[in-house]
Amino acid sequence: MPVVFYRYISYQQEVNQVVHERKVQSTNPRTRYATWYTPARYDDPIRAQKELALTSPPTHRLGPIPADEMPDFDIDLRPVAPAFGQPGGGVEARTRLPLWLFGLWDFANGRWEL
Amino acid sequence: MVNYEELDGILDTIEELFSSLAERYEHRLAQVSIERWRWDEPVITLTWVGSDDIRRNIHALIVHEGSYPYELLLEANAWEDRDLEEGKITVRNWRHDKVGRVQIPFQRSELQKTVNEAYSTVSSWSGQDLKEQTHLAPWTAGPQPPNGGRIG
Repeated sequence: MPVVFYRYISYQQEVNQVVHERKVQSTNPRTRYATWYTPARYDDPIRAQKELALTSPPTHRLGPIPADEMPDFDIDLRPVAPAFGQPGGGVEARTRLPLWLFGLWDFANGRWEL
Repeated sequence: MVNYEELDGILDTIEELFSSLAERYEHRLAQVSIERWRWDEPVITLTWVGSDDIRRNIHALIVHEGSYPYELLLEANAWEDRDLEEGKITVRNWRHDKVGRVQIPFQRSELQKTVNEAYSTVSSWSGQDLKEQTHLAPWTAGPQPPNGGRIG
């Protein structure tokens, strides 16, 4: 079992949700907020695109998230299939549950310090 | 801002065609699955294993500019993964082709024809046609290296 997980994000809407709500979850209600993760840390977004078989490089990486803090998966870890001219071969899993991040709220100024 | 509702409605139509195709060829297809919105991308995918044990998929991706969808791109892949060196390395042999473009809004019959063509194309590929090769990053259950499974 992997030790940590990461989420790669390409929609500003979700980035804003993470920053302002400390909530990690797809913003797509049509999938019941199905959210994908991988145990792989990519420092190169091009490599993330290649191994996760995405249409474009992600703009953000979130993590590491310890595995024991992850919500339950409804699609367990599986190899990524080829798509969009990318070979895939990375590893992915999916959950429909949110993940809440640790934060430090500043009451006086009404904003997150951390 | 992504219009999930509108894009998902388009995927509904494609799912009907994928389901119909899977039913028509059910005697030839194993482990059939239809998935949509993988990694939040407006795509629906039909995946199966052929009688030759080669895995195949057809993706229909909605190309959109903001909330305006204007085109469907269909592409197909076939692949085989082989373990080498007692499972220490996995090699993927694969092939990918773009198999069609359909303008949105589309006629259902036009999309049906393109989906059928995509199926015929990808089904015709044999192991010898899978000319791309990629070494897959190792992953198995077990402890990760101290850097958190860093890959490049």
